[in-house]
Amino acid sequence: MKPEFCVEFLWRSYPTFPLEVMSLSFLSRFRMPRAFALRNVRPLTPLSFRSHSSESEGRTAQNDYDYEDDALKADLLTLALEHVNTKGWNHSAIRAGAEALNMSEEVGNIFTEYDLVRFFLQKNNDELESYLSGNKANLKEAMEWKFGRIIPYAPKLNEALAIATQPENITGSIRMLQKLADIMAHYALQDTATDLSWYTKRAGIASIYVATELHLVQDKSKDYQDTWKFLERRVKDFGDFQRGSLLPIANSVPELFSVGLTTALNMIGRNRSR
Amino acid sequence: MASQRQLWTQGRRFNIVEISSRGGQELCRGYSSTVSQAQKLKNRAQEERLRQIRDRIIRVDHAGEYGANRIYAGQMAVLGKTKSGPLIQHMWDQEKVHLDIFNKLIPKYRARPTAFLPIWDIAGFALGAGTALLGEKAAMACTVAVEASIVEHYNNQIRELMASTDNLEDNKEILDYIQKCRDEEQEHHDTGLEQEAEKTPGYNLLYNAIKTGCKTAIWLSERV
Repeated sequence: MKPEFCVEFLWRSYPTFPLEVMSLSFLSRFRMPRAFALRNVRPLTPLSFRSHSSESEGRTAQNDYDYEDDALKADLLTLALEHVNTKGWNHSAIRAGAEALNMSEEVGNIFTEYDLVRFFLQKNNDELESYLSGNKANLKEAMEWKFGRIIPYAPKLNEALAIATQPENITGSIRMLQKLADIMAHYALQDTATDLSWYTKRAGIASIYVATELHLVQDKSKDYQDTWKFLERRVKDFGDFQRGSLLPIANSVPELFSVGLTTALNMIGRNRSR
Repeated sequence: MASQRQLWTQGRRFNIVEISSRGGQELCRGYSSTVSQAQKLKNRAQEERLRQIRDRIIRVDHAGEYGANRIYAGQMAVLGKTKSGPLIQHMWDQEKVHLDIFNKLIPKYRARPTAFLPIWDIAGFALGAGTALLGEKAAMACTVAVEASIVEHYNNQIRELMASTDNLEDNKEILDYIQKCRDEEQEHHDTGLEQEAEKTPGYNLLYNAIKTGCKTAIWLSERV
């Protein structure tokens, strides 16, 4: 068998194949031509491979799960996130992460682009939770801390949003957003609701977050001043709404409409900065 | 297959040591952090699994106690001034304590309340008032059917919580509360039987219809 096909077979049949072995003993010897690398294809897993190994030892799938692989993937994706601003949210950033770990850059092809985006969302949620559990913050401060962590990625954030909202990824992204809203409501609002206001509070927080993120993507002002002001107004409206006033909703309609319009223009490519 | 897998794992470790001797200290440190990171990920996955179980259990129990409160409210609206009024009031007071317990547990364990609460509000009151309109014995038959399915459900939950983790301390608080509620619901069930619930005309039909309804409500509240 030709070495190219050997490596490809391993990827397709056994995706948790130890990355270093693959990179060092195989890939460093036979570098695969770039044209052969499969892009955007998830490795196929024949069921026989996995179920056989777990049954033969009588272990449950849960114990069999290899968390070292996950930790290694997390390391790789963390390094890849350093390259997204220059290379974009795509495989070239993931390959750069693999190279930074001294692996063959072709290892990056076992990930999808959404793996990178989901990892980013997950990591941000974890960091937000550990920050808020240690520090007291109200909703405005929590949102500002959160956007402080997002803004370094602002130049190419639109690509991440585009990947996250693709139909096959949207359920996972919504779950992450739900988690984010839950963290904010629990720590920043000190929410103890047990009725339907549990849902309205989280929906409000999620809509503030999404609207501000969309605003950030198209913000061309210096140091993203407009986004900070936009965020401040949204949080204030939310507070007013919680106190029972319906006025802020009427006030924010034109602004939210303009955000939506600009997003639509961006999507059809009419708003490109030249 | 298993031995081959193990060999690969060993190969990986060996390779990492090899690189680190070639590439300096950095990767060696990277590897030890990978091991502790893996342990962290494993703990988090375990924690997440327990959180999902608790989330489901607290949600459905809260919905159940909320519905039970509404049933007794409906019964009291019709039978409040009859001779079984004080008895129903006593059971309702106990249900209020149960609801308070789960109102505290929801924020504590960050569980999600069910989205069907408005429906259980109306349906519970209608069930309580409807059976009470059929007479005191029919109201007691309703209590017996509801409490029987709730006790059965609590017992299943206790089994599930005990089996979910090796360390019983993890779920001690929830287990204690569920046990307390279960015992009192059993009392209500027995009280209903003492009040001659079984002499209701069409008892079997009523009992089974209400029990099926409760099971459906439980199934829905666990999920939505």
